[in-house]
Amino acid sequence: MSHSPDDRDRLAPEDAAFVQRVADAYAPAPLSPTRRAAFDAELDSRLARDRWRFAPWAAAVVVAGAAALLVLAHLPAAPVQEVADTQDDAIAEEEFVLALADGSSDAYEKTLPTDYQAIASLLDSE
Amino acid sequence: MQTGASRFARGVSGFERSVSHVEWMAGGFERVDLARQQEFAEFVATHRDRALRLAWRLVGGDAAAAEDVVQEAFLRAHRNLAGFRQEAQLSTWFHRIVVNEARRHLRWRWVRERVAGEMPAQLRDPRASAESDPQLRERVSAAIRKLPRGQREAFVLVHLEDMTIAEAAAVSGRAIGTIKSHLHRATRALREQLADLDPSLEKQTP
Repeated sequence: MSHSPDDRDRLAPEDAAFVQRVADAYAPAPLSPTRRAAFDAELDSRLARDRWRFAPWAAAVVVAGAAALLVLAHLPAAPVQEVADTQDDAIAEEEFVLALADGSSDAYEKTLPTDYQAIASLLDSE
Repeated sequence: MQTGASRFARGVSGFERSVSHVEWMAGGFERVDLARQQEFAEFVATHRDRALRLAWRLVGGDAAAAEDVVQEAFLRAHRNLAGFRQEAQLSTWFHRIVVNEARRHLRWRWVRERVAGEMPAQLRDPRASAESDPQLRERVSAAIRKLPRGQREAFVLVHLEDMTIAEAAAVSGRAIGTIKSHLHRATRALREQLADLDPSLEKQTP
């Protein structure tokens, strides 16, 4: 690294010698190839874990899942109501068929359209 | 008039085109991701050794802690590299992350030692420089660890890591004047504690 003299902290000669001794005594050994490979492998695995944790699509899946749960939680109980309606219809139909069978009801005429009902009433009056 | 069969055929071919487009896009993302990974691997290879030496000196000669600090610094750099705006040099930006991680490590060590009652870590590093005398290294490490944080950082960045005062100010987030003052005090304190290393005093000794 080269710097202009103004950039540096200008040390007195005796300070420079002292600092050099401290620098020599206080230095780690250079990284061996084995240590370097182990460091890189560890960093790779940490990066892979980090990528998974911060994957935008994973966040999107989580948000979409939460939104789907919210929507499901606030849906009206429509299917249950539908079953009940179907059951009511079945009971009414059964009663209608029974009434027709014993001739005790004019329910059949009530199911006709209005104009047919008018014609039927004219014929009855005759 | 379109028959149902021709409409269906058109729909199928449109779907196939969409699928191939999505596949092409996915391939593109993979290529971009791979290029980014290679770029980052080069970044690691360029800065690894110096960052480890800097962290080792900042945390007081603890090799395991230095590796942890640098790993965490690379992780942070990886997350934020896309947001790096060339306002500073890449190396200055990264060294600032290393300094911040070292500070974080030292704060936690302080908490563990004071609050949790953990014993101070033995900092004898078997991988430390083979040329240096182990006892001398331990004394120098102890003297540097005793310095207040600002003085220690300034001394390590400028005198041991050969940064300019402006670089040290940018990396540590302090004013240039503060760095100069810290350097002066740190050098004076170390000369008092390590008087036997002082060449000017050696000459006076008979």
